[in-house]
Amino acid sequence: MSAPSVTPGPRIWRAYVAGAAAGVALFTLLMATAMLIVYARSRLSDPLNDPAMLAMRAKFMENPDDAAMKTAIRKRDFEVRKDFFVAAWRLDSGAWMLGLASAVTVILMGVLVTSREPEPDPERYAMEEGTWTAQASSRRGVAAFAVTVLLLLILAALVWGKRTELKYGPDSGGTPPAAGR
Amino acid sequence: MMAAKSGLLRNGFRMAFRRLGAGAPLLLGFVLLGGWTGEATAAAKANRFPKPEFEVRYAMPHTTTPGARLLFHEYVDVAVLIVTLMLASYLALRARNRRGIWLLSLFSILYFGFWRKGCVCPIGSIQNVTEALTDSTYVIPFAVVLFFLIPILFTLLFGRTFCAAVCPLGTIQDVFAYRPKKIPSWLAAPLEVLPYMYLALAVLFVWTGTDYIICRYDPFIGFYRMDGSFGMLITGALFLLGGMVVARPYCRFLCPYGVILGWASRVARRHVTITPDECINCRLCEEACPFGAIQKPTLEPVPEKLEVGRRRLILLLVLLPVCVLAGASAFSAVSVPLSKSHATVALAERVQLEDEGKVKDTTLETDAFRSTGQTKADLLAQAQAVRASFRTGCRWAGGVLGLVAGFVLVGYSVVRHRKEYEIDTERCLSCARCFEFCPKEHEARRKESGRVRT
Repeated sequence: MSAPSVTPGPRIWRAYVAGAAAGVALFTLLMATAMLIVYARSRLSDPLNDPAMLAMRAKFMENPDDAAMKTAIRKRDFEVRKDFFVAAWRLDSGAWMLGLASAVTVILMGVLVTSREPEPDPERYAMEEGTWTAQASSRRGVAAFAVTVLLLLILAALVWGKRTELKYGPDSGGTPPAAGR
Repeated sequence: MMAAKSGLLRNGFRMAFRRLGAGAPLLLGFVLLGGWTGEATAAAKANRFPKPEFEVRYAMPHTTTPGARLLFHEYVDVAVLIVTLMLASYLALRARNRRGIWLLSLFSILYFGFWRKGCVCPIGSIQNVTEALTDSTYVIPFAVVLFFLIPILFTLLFGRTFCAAVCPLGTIQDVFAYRPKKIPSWLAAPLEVLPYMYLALAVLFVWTGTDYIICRYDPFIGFYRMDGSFGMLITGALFLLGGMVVARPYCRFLCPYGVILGWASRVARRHVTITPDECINCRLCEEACPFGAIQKPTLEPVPEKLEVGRRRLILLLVLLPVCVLAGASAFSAVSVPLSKSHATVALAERVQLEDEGKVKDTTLETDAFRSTGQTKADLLAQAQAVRASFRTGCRWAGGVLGLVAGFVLVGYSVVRHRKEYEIDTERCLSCARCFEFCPKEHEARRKESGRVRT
């Protein structure tokens, strides 16, 4: 009687790879969600326009000798700047982890998908188009594409081809508006 | 002995996975997530005295070129390019080893992609070469010339082995080609004209001094540099996801360098073959190629069809000048909208509109122009010159594209009789996938391993 095999069969191997892929995919999803939240929050919170700080500054302007208010402003300023840099750090490092996790997910999925290659089956494609039919449909496709591109170019010329007349000389007319937006 | 060693290695991986369990990646993921949050606190402490004078409304421009490198490093890159091309050619033509090609592809992704940040790449070098040929004030780095020429030289000798395992843009797509589907010929044929259009536009934009559009719209560079605009990152992700079902979409339907390599591959001295021996028409390789580069044997056409085909071919050849004229006219009609992509023309038009009072506000660019002291007449003269160059360039580009479309139609009208399965030398990317499907290949390997044992 032969000793039992200690190596798992192909099905167990695929199960492990599938489990690992699912795990990494879940991590990728969680990381992507977390980064989206951090990004949205960082966009909404501008450290220079923090409402609480602006209110404190307005109060401070009314009473410039208020030392407690000065301390509070400095403390608040430090907090919002800290939040900003933390968010920036998170986005940066999160991007690395997301990238790596995505790559691992893709590789594991690839291993999973390609571990069971379908057998070539020429009979399945017996009804496929022959060479002459393929050439004919290719010709029609290229001709249709060329005509479509020509029509699109003509349409683009009609719609966007309106030229701004570039007149130059001392009598080019008009005065520029005041500088600044 | 080699087979026993590889078996041990495989079993080793299986045992490791068994012990770690499939939950290990999940556990690791949560540890990382927790660590990421915890480290944020440490980072906050490190930033107790943050940088002063920052501006949140300022958007840092995304990098379009990598940092400067030593000249020595550039020549090291050229040497690595040559070595990898030699390896790829050997693996595809001599060793006929798909696994070797795949491993070399991974190396190319890591070295030419992530390490060198995807720049200089032969695809983008088309623009540098074009600028060197059209602008006498531009001095092209010698390394860039080598990056442009060396893959073409190898293609002339061995076929598109550059595409197989060296190009960072192609190899990253290859990783994602899991279950490529065959594209119907009526769709694939017109899509294969797009690279010619992209090449024409790229040359036009460089010739007029507008932009390097191949670099600006490279969909994968953002991944390699871990930086890029949101739009391009999404585009790259879509290309990669689409690449799961349509193998190498950028290479087949957009790559402008692929146009040049395709022409070179047609006249290559040697090329990958499906079978190492004589083809026995077993049909097993029929669906092996995800790029549609395997041509089936054909039956003898009936005389009536030959006559129809002959008339069609003559008609197409007669219509070639019409295609050229139509292309030139259509493209020159859009030269004005295209010229607006040039900064000088856009600025001149904006200044004109502001001076005529047709727009109320000024822009940063017009404010900057007015503060430089340059006269409006100079600016408008420059813009007129750019518009004229766009008109000329569009006529040429359109004419060439019309000619290309005509020749493509002629190509699909020519009857080529084949007795066995052959490789389409223009489309074949020398990826070595078809080898596994050939029984003659397996027979040759068995003979080889038998010879090694004895």
